[in-house]
Amino acid sequence: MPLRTVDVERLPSFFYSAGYEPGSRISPELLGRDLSHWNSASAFTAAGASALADERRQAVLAQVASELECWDGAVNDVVLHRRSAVVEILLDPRPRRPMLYHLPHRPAGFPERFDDGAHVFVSSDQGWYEPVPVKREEGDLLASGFEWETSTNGTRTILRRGPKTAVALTPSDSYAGFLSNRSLMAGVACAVLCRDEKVSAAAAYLSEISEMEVRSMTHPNLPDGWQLFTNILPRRFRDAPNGLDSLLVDSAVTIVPVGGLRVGRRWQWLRGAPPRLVVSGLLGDERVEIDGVAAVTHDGQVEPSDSFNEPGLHLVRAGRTERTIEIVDPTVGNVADDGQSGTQCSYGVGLPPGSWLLLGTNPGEVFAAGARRLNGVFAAPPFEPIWAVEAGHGPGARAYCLSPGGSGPQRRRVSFSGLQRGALEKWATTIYSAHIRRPVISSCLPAAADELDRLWTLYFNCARELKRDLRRRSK
Amino acid sequence: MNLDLLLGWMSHLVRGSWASFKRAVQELAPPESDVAEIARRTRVTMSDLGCADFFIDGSGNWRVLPPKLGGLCRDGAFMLVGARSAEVISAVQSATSGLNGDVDILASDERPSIVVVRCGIETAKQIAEIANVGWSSSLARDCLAKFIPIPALLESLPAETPLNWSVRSFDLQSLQWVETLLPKSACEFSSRFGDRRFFVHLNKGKFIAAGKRESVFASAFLQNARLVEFDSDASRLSVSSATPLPERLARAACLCSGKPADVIEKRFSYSEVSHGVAHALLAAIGQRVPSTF
Repeated sequence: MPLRTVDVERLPSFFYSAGYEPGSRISPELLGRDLSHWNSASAFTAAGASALADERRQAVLAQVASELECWDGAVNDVVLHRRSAVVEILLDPRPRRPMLYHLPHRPAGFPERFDDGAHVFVSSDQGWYEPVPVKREEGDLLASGFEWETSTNGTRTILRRGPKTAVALTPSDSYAGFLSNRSLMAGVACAVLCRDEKVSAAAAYLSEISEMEVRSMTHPNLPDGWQLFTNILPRRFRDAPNGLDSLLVDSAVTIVPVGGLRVGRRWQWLRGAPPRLVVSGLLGDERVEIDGVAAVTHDGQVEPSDSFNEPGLHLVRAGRTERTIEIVDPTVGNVADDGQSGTQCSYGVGLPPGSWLLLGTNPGEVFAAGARRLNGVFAAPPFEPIWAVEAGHGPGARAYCLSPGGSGPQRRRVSFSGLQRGALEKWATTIYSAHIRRPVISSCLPAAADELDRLWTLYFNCARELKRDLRRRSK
Repeated sequence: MNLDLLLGWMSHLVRGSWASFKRAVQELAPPESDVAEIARRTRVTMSDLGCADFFIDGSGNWRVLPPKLGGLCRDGAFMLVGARSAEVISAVQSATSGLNGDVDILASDERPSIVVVRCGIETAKQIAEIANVGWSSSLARDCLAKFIPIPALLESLPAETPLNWSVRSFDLQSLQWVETLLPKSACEFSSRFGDRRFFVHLNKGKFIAAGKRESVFASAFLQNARLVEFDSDASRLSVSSATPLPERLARAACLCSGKPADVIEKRFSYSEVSHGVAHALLAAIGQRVPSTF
């Protein structure tokens, strides 16, 4: 290859400035002229420029043409602080209710949200923004092409689409439905979106290549000035009429996995939901094989077989083209817990209006449940609360049992120093103070009064002992 | 529709966009069905049953939750929630049989299969440890503990509302959105591009940013309106379908019984809700907690 990586990476800027369409084919003469003009501003490195000027020129042009065919329309011009990506058109072919969407590519580094003040796109996964419906009044915009631009941190981000009078829509492995493509695919059902003024020429051409009469449809969901052809099954190769170059039929054999539950960017699908296979460009007696076994195809659609749903690698062969599709059993990925999902221990509690202290079974487990509220109090202590005690300085107190079947206090070896001592004092004093005020005891669950009294007494006895211990140790 | 397959796919990917979720639902839904409506219903089911969170932090993303075994409100019943695979379920089954517990797997077309372990609490804790899944003594209380209570939400700093966006408010009398800005109400601001933001409209033109459902309950708190009913005899909690509970609380209510809400006379009705969970939920949502004194 005459051009090195550093020069190849600059080619999208050239394609963009020359106004080429992604995946298009340009004559070597025009390509050479445009490339020389672009390089007059020293766009290539010295090595690249000399390859273009010497006997390697034809090889350079062949390499550039090949890069253009693979180009997805994205440009990342570091020097000019400009990056751009192409907006595809997606057709959701619901019967009698076709819907068209703008579907912009989102190459790495593009913003999560594109907002130019008039168009908003939010990122989806796998290198796309989420589709946004094409509005009816956007017919002229679609015909003339557009560039939507926004700027972040001094870098311009452009979403664009070139001018078109007809759009070929073909099956895609990225989205269910039909996605805009640089050409029609031979032998599989495609659709065509066409400007009104080109409809009769398109109908004649499409009828010829599909060997049957086709008709366009109009629909309120379609943009003004456009009509839609559906179920176009190209069987012949013909030169496209003037202005309908994008409706040429691509003869390449292509295997397109459509739908299913895909897992990740690789050709990997979930067991139980494998993709449907569409194969275009098959000629004569060429056939499709899956794992060496001939598959039945009908209009490019491969009939599903049970073995294709088995986990493992499946080799799909169509003519000379091969693709490997992997079917996997689902596993649980790396589900990190950020604390919001609730594996950390805490207990939500609701209480009648008041100022409550929540007490756990272990002495020292005390939690203030917030201020007096009109309707009630919500608290989430880090332990399982057994009692909620409302005790002020005046007469009377309320003790509310949150777990009537709960256990008595768990008096273990505890530290009587520092912070723990303060918590122990608070736990014991809360129970003791409430008790000497003859508390009204109730429960959030139906429970026998004597059972509640018995449980309260256990806690009171523990609190009294604890207070004695604390006094003894402070002497 | 096979929601076990969908949950398997979500568990494998861990996170994704709302668009990818809708596409996955479309793949599994019957042809010619209303995909948008089925996706919405499936999202609610997946969220309520503790499988995944949706629209995290206002984004258009979903994320599956870690697998966890946790207690329902009825004694001796523990449910497996969160991400799952055949491997995880089989680990729980084999740990349970080793400890003399029982596992029920209840399949349905309307929701992912429900996996319930029946045993004592200490055994369930051991099963979770052996099967290497998370543990919670009460799934409902876990959900409640992570919820920011409505009264606390109303103490947040006031927020700026967008300019030149259309606005409508939720009228608590008619339980409908109306095209005007009402005081002490939930309000929705919409841009012409379809962006929506929700606020609670306080007095004197002050607004507090909140989720859609939270803002409705905040307005009910401000107007002292009763939206949630708890029938303590039947252990049944219900709320109008026009004012669904915030996602985390709807999940708490569902994870009392382990079943999605029934819809009875245009109300979501949650069964087997314990008094403790009901009181916590009412307090969190700013509704009156019954006093038993």
